[in-house]
This record gives sequence, C-alpha cells and structure tokens, in this order.
Amino acid sequence: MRIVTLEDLQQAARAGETRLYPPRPKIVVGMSTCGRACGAAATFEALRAEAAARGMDVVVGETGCIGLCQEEPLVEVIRPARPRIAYGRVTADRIATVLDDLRNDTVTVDRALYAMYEEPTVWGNNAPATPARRYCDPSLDGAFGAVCRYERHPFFAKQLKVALRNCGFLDPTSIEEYIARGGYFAAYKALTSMTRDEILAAVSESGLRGRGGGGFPTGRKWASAAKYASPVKYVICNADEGDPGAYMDRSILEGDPHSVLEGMMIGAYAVGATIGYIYVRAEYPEAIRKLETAIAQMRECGLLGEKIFGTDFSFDIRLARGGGAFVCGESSALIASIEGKAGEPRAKHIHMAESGLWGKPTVLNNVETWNNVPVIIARGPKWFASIGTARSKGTKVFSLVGEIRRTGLVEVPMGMTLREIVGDIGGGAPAGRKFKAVQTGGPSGGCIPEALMDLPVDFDELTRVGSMMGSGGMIAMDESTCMVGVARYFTDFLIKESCGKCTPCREGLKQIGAVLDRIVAGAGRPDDLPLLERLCDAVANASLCGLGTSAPNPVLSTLRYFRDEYEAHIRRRRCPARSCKALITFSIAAEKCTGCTLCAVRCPSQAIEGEKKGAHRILADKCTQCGICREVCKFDAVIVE
Amino acid sequence: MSVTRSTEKVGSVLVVGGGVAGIQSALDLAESGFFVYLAEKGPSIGGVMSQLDKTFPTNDCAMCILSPKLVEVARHPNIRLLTLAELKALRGEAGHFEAVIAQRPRYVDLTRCTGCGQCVQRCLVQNEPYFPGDEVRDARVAPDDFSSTGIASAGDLSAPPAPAAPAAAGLDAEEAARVEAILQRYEGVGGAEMPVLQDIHAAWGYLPEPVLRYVARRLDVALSHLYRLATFYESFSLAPRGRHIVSICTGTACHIRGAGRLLDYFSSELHLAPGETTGDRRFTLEEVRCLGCCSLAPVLKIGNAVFGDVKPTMMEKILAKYE
Repeated sequence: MRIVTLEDLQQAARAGETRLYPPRPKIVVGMSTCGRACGAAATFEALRAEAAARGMDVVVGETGCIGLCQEEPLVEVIRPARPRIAYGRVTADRIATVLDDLRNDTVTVDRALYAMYEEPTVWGNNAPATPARRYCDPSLDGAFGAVCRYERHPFFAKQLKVALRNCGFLDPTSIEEYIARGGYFAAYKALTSMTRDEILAAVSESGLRGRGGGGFPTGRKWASAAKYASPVKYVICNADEGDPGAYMDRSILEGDPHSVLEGMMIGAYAVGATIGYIYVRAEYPEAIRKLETAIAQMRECGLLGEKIFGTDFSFDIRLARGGGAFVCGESSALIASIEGKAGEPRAKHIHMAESGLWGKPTVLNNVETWNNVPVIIARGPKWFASIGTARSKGTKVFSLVGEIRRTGLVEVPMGMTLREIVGDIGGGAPAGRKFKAVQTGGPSGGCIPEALMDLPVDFDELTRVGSMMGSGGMIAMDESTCMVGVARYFTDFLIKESCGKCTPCREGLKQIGAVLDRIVAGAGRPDDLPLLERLCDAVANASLCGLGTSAPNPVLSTLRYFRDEYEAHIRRRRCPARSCKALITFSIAAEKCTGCTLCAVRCPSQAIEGEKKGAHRILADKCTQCGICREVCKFDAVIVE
Repeated sequence: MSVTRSTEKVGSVLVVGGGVAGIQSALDLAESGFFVYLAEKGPSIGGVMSQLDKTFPTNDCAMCILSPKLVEVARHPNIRLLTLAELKALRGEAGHFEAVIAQRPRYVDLTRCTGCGQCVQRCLVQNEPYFPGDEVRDARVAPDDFSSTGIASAGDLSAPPAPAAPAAAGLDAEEAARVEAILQRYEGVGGAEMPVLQDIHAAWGYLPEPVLRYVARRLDVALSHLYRLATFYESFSLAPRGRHIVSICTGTACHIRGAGRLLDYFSSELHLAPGETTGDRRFTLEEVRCLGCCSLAPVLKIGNAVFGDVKPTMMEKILAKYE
C-alpha cells in the first residue's frame, strides 16, 4: 500500500477504522512492558484460546499503555452500541468474567474500572480527521450505567491527553489504525501546503519547549538549524530515557510509535534534514521492536524514502540502540554514541544546530517533543498555546510512582498544582501513611516537600524551588522514606553514571558520596553539612555537561527542605524514617507475638529464637536488618526503632 | 682471599620503570650529571600516559607532553635505555648498589630499525605485539598503534618469545561466518561499531576477545577503541555470563520500595553481588538503572520476563522456575 495522495491517506484511514472498531466485539489487551510484567501476554493467549473454545465471534487485539499501570493487566471490551469497558488486573486465570460479561451483554460492576461513552480527542473540527468516537448513548442505565464514567474516574478526570492521545486506543503495530486516528494528516498538510518558514513559525508560536528536561524552546532550536546551509542535516530523537522513575517515552514508543516518527518527518522537512536517527535505550527491547515495525511500515507505504507525498522531500529514519549509559541522554554524548564512540559529552562552544552529528547541522529533541509536533501542525499553534502557563505551553506527561495509591502515567496541562497531581489523580499516600515529599526531575531534580504542594508545575516554577522538570518522573515519598537515603541514592547513581571525563563531576561526586555514606552509617560529623554545601557548589559550577552541573540538586534540595533529617542522623544518630540500617534495631513486641515461629523460619541469618507458642526475640548481634521478619509477621509484632 | 668492596659512591643511577615518572626522573638525574640506566619491562617506554587522551588539570594532550621527553631519553648521552628488561636482584647499600637485570631478546636490530611497522603488516603469522598475561593492557594497545607506545616500540615484532606465547586465538570457520553475517548487516554504515558489538553480545552472550580482535581488523579500527566501548557501556560484558540474567531494577521508585532488599537476598542466599555469576553458571546478577516499570516497583527481570511488586520472600519461588 503506497500512500501518495490525500485519497490514499483517507483510504488507509477507512481500513484502520474497521480495524479499530470492527462490526463484531473486540477485546484489547494492554501489552506494553508494564502489562507484560503483570502477565498480559498470558492473558492475551488465554483470551484467544478461551474465546475460540467457547465459539465466540470476537477479535482479540493488543494496544499500548492505557495509563493506569497499577491495574495491569488491563483489558478493554469494545462492542457495538455499548460503552467501552475496562477491566483491571485481568490475569490469565481471571478472564472468565470478561468473556461471560461479553456473552451476556452485561458488565460485572465491581470488576470494571470505567466505562467510556465517548473517546477523548485532541483533534478539533479543523483537523483533517475527526476520530472523536461516540460508542453509545450516554444515558444508558442498568449495569453499564453503574460503572464509573471514564471522565469521572479520579485517575482520568483531570488529565488532558495530547502526547498520549493514541496510547491505549490503537494497535501500535498497525499504521492504518494510526492513520484512522488522524495520523500522517499533519505531515501531509505540512509537506504539501506549508512552507518551511511557516512550520518554523508555527512551532515557535506554539511555545513548545523541549520535553526532555531542559525546556529549551523547540522553535528556536529548529530555526537555528534551518539557517545553516548544508546538503546533509540530521534530526535525532532522543529516546535514551535514563532518568530512573520516568517511563513516558517508553510508553509512547510502545503505544504510539508513529506519532514520534511523524513528528520527526515534519521537523526534518522544516529544517531541511534528510536523515533521522532515533536513539533508544537498550533496556527497552519492546520499544525497539515496535519502532522497527513502524519504520518498516513507513517505508512500505512510501512515507520514508524518496519523494514523500509526491513532493521533492526525501527522508529516512535509522534506529540506533543505546548501550546502557545514562550520560548518553546528554545530547553531545548521544551523538558520540551514534558515531560509534564512547558516549562522552563535549563542551558546546559550537552549537549542535551548526555542527552536530558527523559535523553536520543537527536537531535533537526528546520523544515527547517530537510527538507533540503533529498536533501543533494539525490544530494550529494557537490551540496549543492556549493550554498551560505563561511560559510553559501544552501538556506534560508524568510517571506518577512511588508510595502512592494510584500509580501510572498521567498527562496534565502545565501549571496544574502538585497537590492536584499527587493528591487528586494519584490519590495521595497509601492508607495509614503520611505523604512527605515528591521527587521530580530524576537524578538532576530535587525533592519538593509537602509544604510546597500548591506549586503549579511548569519548567520555571520547578527550577525556582530547586528541582526541575526533567523528563517527568514524579516519585511520591511517604514517612518511611529517608531523605538522606534518597540523596545518597541519587549521588550513588550519578557516581556510577558519571562518564569520568571532567574532574569536578568524577571526583566531586565521590566526595559527596563519601560524606553521605558516613551520615547514613551513623558516623556523620557536625561540620558535614557545610562541607556538603561547599562540595555541591564546586561540582555544580565547574562540571562540563548537564549531568555534573545538576548532580548536586538532590543533595541541595533535601538539605534545603529536610535539614532536620540530616541533623537527626548526625546529632542524635537516629533515622527518622527508620530506614537507614545502621541506625535502626529490630525487636519483637512480646505481647503481640503469638509464637507462630514463621519469622524464625524465614530469618536468613537465624537471628530469631523462641519456643513455639511463646514470645520470640531477635538477637541483635546476628540481625542484619533485612526486614523479612516484619514482612512475614501476620500480627504486626516486629518493631523497628 | 676476601673481596673488599669499594665504599666509594658510584656515579650512576638505575631507574626502574619507563612510565612518565621514570622518564622524568631519568631526565632530571641525567641533567644533574648522573649516568642513568632506565629499565623497562615492556618493549617500549611511555607507560600509561602514552595511552591517554587528555591529562588533568589542563586537559592537554598527553602525547604533546610526553613525546618530547621520549625523544630526549633516546638521545640523551647520559641515559642508557634497557627495554624488555626486568630487575632480578639488587644488592648493596645506598650509594653503591649492584643490580642484576634480565633482558629478553627482541630479534630486531634496533640500530637499523626505523619503526615503520611494515614487518608487522607483512608477517604471515598473525602475532600481535601484546604482552601475554597482562590482559588489560593487552587489549588497550592497538595492533597498529605504534605512535602511542613510545619511540622504541617499533622493534617489537612479535610477542615476547620465552616462554613462547601462543598466537592470538583465532576464530574457527563457523564462528568467523557468524561474525561476518553480523558485519554484513552494517556494511557501509557510519558508526557501525555499536550495533556490531550489540549484535555480537546478543549472539554470544558476551564479547569474546578473539571475536573483538577479528572485528577490529575487519572494521579497520583499533582494538583499543572496541575495548573502550566494551568497558564504557554498561550493557557489554567481556566475560561469559550465566544462563539466566537476573536484572534488578534500582531505579528511584524501586529503590524506595525495596530494591535494596532484593539485592540483599541475592548476597545472603546466593552470595552473589551485582556483576557476578554463580559457580554453576545458572544466574548472573545485574543491577539495571530503571526498566521503566516504575508503577510496579520493585521490579526484576529474568531473561526477558519482567516481574513486578517483588518481595524477598517471593524470590525462592521465582528462581525455582529457572534451571
């Protein structure tokens, strides 16, 4: 199937439409890595086999990340004249309910997560395709009416899905389904009816800023690359999502790979590039597979290669795999890696827009940035700029994880407060525990305390309080998380991931790590805190690349907001969160212990003794503070102090 | 008849080791009027510095600093260079030492050698100027990289002779064909090193040294370059690994939800630290910086299967599935 004209696109869209919403019932399984980790592949096979065994006429298909990762494996049922119903935690042994419901044309209310009557859409009336799908009459009652509406579900109610517009709604291995949901119409519009300057102006006007963390205005980046004359230019998609705690890029690549590739195609046309690279972490095999499929489909359809859409524009995309080095998320290190060198950053006296990959003008953007481009072209920059705050436009995807009730991938307009994101969407700390802080921006970011929860989340506000947007990891922490431990964890991470080229980062971080090590080991000294601040200052000011200059953020922000915890470690030799092993002891409350012997059996260091049905006790000299006893105790008898 | 030893101080000095420290010492001493014997175990002087790119604190190019000194050592009338030499014994006291030095043969007439390196290229036996038994150094020195090992290096035709070092283990035809198949996928692609190494790693489970040597020759890059990639990037291993790779995610979310306790489990139950393999090659333990399944933390991966919300108490059952 070659796609050259608008009619070709529309024909592909019609084919996709029947795949998306076939006339017979369809069951879709969320098959991204999170889903697979919970057994989605087995669910998929079991649904197929069981539906065949029962002789049911259904299509079983796959989709990407639906968002509410905590309820994986997620399964959705689509059938004519009924709302789209999602079921959570459908492991292979729990598929019967789904199939029973489908056969009996009903829904088991307490197993269903939500009912969707109308698909949310980012495409407005002026968009080339309007896939707002109405499933059925919203006044439906009975069992279906009793299921929580999608738009009222606390996790989804406040979200606005722009970057995640297709994730969970289409089969990522089908280009037709992507086209049916409005895909490649933006590229068609850009290539056939817009000049390069018009596209550059549109992207600038939209106010889009780089989603990888730095927040550099995308329009300005593109314009500066466009002005250099060179027969060869490159566009690069940075999919080396190294920040621990962030996985939105993986979800987009696994759930909607074409959106990123389309964005790259538009960007390449605007700046005059002919080759695109997409650099994916080696840790994301599923994303690599999905991209390989998508690129092959684009070639087959003529969307990559010579004379795309019958214009003079030629473009090709190559896939480069990372090698497990965090620093390769830094643009100059990433380019070194593509060139087949060790991924070390270089000083950027010369901008990448002038001399990047193989010395040619290069535009490098993050997955989410590229993914936003088609929407800006299709709906116009004004629409995009109407979302968000004064200086941060559009939406941002966050991975909301950690000690929180509802974990998953959320997308909200810029400027929503942390309290809304963590409290309303995430549901706050798990029952019985107290929320303490939220960490944003990965190892380059910082911890924001409860007191600052009304902060509107955008690039500048987060920087102001000593954290940063980063790629969008948002890790909630409760009272059981030791903030000194968190600072030490990030420092440890950065020590291992520092490429070692410049001394302040390589050696300075080691020194910071050594000080933190002795604080958590209970050997902190009174002047350690000023020492830490001095070291952080030196590392931040003297390092070569972004990794080093932002590396002290976790330490500085915890020092700023949780100084009392540091002081408790140093002065009183206590860990207020009861998590630093050197500063805690385990014991058993005799009055609660029933003498079930479970803890003694499970203790890996034989540190628990006691008679059957008699109170047990923990031998302090043998205990390694592993915490297994507390985990296995059914009576809450293990005390940590 | 008793031998009376002279107590008069002698005017010569022995410097052991021809790295930059030894070179500088030799030059300073020679300038002060002492006669210096500079003994170096390897075939050439220059040491580690000659292999460095930049040096602290000025980021100057290492060879720019070092090479004038190398030339000076060779030319200085007060310095006698002893390469392929090892100090066997040392007698005497301050001011009057007697040193026994064993020097291995080089099989090259140094007075006539110009260091052109042609003999290495023409040699029918594929020996390379390596130091057997010194694996790390071995891989860092490129076969064709004479400039980086100092001025006296060119004379060293083959591996030091006694005891005779085996020729670099070659690949059998079948293995060579496998490598060729991988190389062909990236024919003419710029920056092919990374994808080639990744595919080799996937096929062999690690990066075997003979394969790396073969690839270096075929891609016409220095072996040191491949070694650098192999040690820079976390996902490459130079040693064979276990049948099942257990990757424990130590991303932030996993960290605060107990990844450390999973690592503890492996160290206390299987005596396995990250990077290590069990004696029976059943498991290799690895730490991975975020698998991107943060909502299911803590997460671990065995082979391609990902397990979410794992507790140490569940480990025994999970591992039992893998033989």
